[in-house]
Amino acid sequence: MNAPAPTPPTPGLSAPHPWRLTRRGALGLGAGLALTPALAGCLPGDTPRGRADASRVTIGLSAAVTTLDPMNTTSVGTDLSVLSSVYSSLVTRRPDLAIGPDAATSWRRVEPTRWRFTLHRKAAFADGSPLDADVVVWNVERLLNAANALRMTSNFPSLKAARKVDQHTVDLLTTTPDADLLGALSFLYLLSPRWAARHRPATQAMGSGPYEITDYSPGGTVELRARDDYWGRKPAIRRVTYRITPSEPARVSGLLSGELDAVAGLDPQDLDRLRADRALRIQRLDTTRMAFIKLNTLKGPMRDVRVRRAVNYAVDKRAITASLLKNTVRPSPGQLLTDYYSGYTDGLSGYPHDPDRARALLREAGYGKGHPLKVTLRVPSGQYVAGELVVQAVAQQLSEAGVSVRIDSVPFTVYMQKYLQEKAMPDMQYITQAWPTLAAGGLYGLFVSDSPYAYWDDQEFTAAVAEARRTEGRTARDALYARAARRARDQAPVLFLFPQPGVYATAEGLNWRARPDDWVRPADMSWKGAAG
Amino acid sequence: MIRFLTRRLSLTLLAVWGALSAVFLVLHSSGDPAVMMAPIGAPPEKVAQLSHALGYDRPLAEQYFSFFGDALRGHFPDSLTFQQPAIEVVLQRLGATVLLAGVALAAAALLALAVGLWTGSREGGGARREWPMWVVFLAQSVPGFYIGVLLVWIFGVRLHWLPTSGATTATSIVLPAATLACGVLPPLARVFRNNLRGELARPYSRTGTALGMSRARVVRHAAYGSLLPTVTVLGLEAGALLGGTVIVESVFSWPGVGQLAVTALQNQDYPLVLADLTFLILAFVLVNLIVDLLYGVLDPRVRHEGRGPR
Repeated sequence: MNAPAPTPPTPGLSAPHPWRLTRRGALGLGAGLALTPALAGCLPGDTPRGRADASRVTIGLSAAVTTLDPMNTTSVGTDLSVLSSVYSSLVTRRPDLAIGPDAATSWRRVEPTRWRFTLHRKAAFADGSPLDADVVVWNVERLLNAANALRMTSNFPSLKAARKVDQHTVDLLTTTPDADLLGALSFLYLLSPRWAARHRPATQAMGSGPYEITDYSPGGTVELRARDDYWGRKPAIRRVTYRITPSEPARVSGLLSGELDAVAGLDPQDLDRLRADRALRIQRLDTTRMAFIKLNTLKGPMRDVRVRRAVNYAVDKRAITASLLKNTVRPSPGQLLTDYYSGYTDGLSGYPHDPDRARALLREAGYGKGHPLKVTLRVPSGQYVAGELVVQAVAQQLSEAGVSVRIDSVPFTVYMQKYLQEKAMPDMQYITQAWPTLAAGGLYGLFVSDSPYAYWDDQEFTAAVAEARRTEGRTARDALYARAARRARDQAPVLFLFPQPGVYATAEGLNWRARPDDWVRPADMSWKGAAG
Repeated sequence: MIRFLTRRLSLTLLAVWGALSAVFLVLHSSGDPAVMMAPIGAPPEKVAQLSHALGYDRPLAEQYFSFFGDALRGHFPDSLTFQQPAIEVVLQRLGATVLLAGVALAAAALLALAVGLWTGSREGGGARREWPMWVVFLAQSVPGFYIGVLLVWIFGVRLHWLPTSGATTATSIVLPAATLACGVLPPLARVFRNNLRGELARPYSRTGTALGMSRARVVRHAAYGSLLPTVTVLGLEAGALLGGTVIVESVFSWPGVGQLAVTALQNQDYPLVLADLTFLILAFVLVNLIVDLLYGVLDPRVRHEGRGPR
């Protein structure tokens, strides 16, 4: 393919006079050495400061952007973060996690199952065509059409139809009253029907958002430019480059060498190295993703609630967060949700570290000397931040309480296949879960008895969640979710751990508030001292 | 020559088929991609629908034959994640890998020639003559990914001279190509140097010197004689190089087919993995084919014997 035939030796190199050769070689070497930094020095100022002067940012993404069709992806950290700059949605989840306006300026519920949205009068696509009620209706029909097999569809279980009221007003109808509809709508990016008829949304984009794509290759770099004719608030950052850096060391070295301005989702293990660099600003917070070890309550030793409680007592969560996660997070108070979710219950407390109590509970359940508890703990390799380290620490602590743990590290694909398809979850498995719309009902839905994710058949929990989902009033609903949360704390279908830590690094001088829900939007960024 | 070519080509096809079958079976035994594609919380019947729509609920044998039937006609199904023909995605990325591998191979070959000529054209000579080989040995003893990390640290993080990721500027290729070349250079340089020494010790070189040829001419003749085994190693190393691109492209975020293969595997994007690996495998056997043909050019004996070279 590209094997050049070796060139014949040049006479000069094999000349018989070593001194002439050496001189020439030394000259060549010297010239080469002098040239390299000179060449590098000639490069345009591709440093954070240079980019700040030009209102540019370079963002490192942990995975490739795979599609430009916003309805055919659910990856928030990559695909959707990029596309949210290009397309607009009816409503958006702001950096403070509240729902705010985007293409719709206001909305209200006119009937329990009918929401009315008033559209921004100036909202328009890059080609000048207006974003009006017809556009919204077409997009909802595209989303709901089963023949399109769009991945976003399952985030809208209750959405039934859209009806045009007038040019700037549109109604969305749901089958049942759905308090989570707005959260879901912040994921629904609107395409232009006329444009989509003649283009492939998977590989091309034309939206009504603050930026337009100037360069895209599938899985490669993506470049954005701010639109001069954008109808909303113009972003401070004018040009954006997304660099695909799947490996953690590449992200870290990219930050340290000044090639990247913003990276989300770093490993806490790299904190010390990043903190040592004064040109970087580090932010850390809990993410909306909860990490825990799922227990198979349907089969094997974990059917016994005493065993489930015992493993919860046996593990010192605080020691793990302090050492392995560098104090980036605090242990969960016996909760399946992080406190960003609507429906989160305050006032619960986690299982304290109490190895004696763990041993006592295990004895009670019939385990002990001569008959030790043996379990398998599965972890997907390389999938979760610090996942394998955490699992090893947990196994070590469980063994101190007399539980013998076999760690089973498998590729994520195999892990998912066994978990969901073959229904063959081992006694324990490390997992992190989040629900994109930040609704308690969504994440709790993964624990109700008929969910393939649950491996837990608990009528009290299931009934509380089902009733909460039907309940309109906020207070009554939260009370039901509190009942569910307390039941989960008591029955321990999981070994409660901690929220997945979010570690974010930005170049010094770049204003950006890191957010717990994976969105990285250049429109929220600005350089200190720069106009806008 | 025709017989030689057909024999080589049919063996090549057999190798491609065998490699692809292995990949296919390993891939499809790791589960149904519909499970990974469906968003969190999707009910089982939705997952089953998706699996059916994609054809992954068919018996394995049926999937196998339909894959090879399609592949023979040059047709690959759409990538599951990119939602466009897998082959298009691969072709868009192929150029970057060919460029990287080509530059690395050319650099390694040229350096190997230089090192070989410098250290091999003369017996003895001590440190002043032997030092390039020490560097070569060092490069061989250190694993490639470590060299990559080291280069990133020195030239990217410490000196800020060269970009460490992506393929945005002309200098972006320097570090990944250097890392790749470090893996290929040592065996090439060693084989060339040792053969050069051997050729110089043979009677024809002595005769040349005795007839009054200049040292440079004698070395040139000997160098031609040493090329054949060097080309063999070059072919083998070019294959290893293609494997190396998978790691190097990941370390340096180089947007080629190696990085694509990793992404596709992580996403369980079977069609893309198969299309991607088809290209890597084809490239591998093609390089070996070219090397075989190069023997014919470099060594007339191979051509005239009408038999395989090995």
